[in-house]
Amino acid sequence: MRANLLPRNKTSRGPLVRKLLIGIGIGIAVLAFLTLFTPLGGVLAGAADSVAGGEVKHLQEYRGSITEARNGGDLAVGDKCDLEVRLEDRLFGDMVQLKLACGTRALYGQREDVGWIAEHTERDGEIVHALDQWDDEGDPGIEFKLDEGAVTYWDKTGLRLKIALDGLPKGALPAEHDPAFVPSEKAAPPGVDAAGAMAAPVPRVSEKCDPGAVCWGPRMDVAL
Amino acid sequence: MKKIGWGIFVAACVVGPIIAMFALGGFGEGEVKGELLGSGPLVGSFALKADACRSGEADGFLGVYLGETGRSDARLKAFQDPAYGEMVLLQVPDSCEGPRCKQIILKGESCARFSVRIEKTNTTVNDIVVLDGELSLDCELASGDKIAGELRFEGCH
Repeated sequence: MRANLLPRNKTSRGPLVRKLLIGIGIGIAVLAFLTLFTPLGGVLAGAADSVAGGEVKHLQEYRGSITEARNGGDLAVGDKCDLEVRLEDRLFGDMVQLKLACGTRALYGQREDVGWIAEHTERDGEIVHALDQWDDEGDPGIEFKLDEGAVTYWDKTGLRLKIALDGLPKGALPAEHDPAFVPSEKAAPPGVDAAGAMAAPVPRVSEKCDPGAVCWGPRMDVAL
Repeated sequence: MKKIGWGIFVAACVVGPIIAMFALGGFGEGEVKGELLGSGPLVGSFALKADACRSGEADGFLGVYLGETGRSDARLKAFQDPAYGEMVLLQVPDSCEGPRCKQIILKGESCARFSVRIEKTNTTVNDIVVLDGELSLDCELASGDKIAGELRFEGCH
């Protein structure tokens, strides 16, 4: 009996392993194709990167002010904004990521609309142009042009901002020695301006609807 | 005589009910009186003169929508939240930018006067319980904006 069973088991296991290997191979090939040639690759890569994390290879930091604000909501001309242009070493290759924060609001790159930048141009190791790939689809987008010293940001609600940069990399001067610099995460508390002096508080329309606060909420379309 | 008889019949069956419907508040819009006034750095200056209402029962809440028929963005929702009690969600008139609008959730804390009364009547229209009630607000927000006024509503369904 044993002599009869042994060869039969061996022959039945062979095709199963082969099928498994072929299946895994096809899966890898499909994933590679999607990653390289379709927008889904960005999503897959983003998902993988969010787990794997990315090492910052190069970082440019700027501070500027809003020069144009069309449907700017609670953001207005003259408001200060911070921009980080970073080149990260990700699982699926280098990725340029932009982080734009104006006042205490993270506009881009720190929320769900993480900047997955399709196009970017480098010159002498410095990123001089970066453009979000989703700009044609009505999604939030951003474009950074170093030579013009400008950033343009737009979102699907109609918010569109043009921001002038002062062009001076923050790295040239430690942030704590720059009197105009207020990190967006540690924005000046209400009543204190960027230089630390007492100033009249400027109320803003909140993005979060807490009781007692004026906020931006979804339009209440009710037929009466 | 026959002609006069038909005239009375038509008047009684058709014209009379139509006149009565308008006299009693139109086609189920309810009757709303009063206004809310707002002013401040974020809401600007506005007056919401509500003239129509609708019950929130179809949308799953005990409360009413109030607003102005001619201004689609002038809306207010007064309701009883099972967890937080009476609340008012005010959409600031003329504040909409695309799909979003300036809104304020009002509860008792930030108001010197906050009274929301919503009463179910014994009447139902199309399986919706007709609501009566009133709200009276005098609120000053942390931003410095002020909302105050009184609204009364009857026959909302």
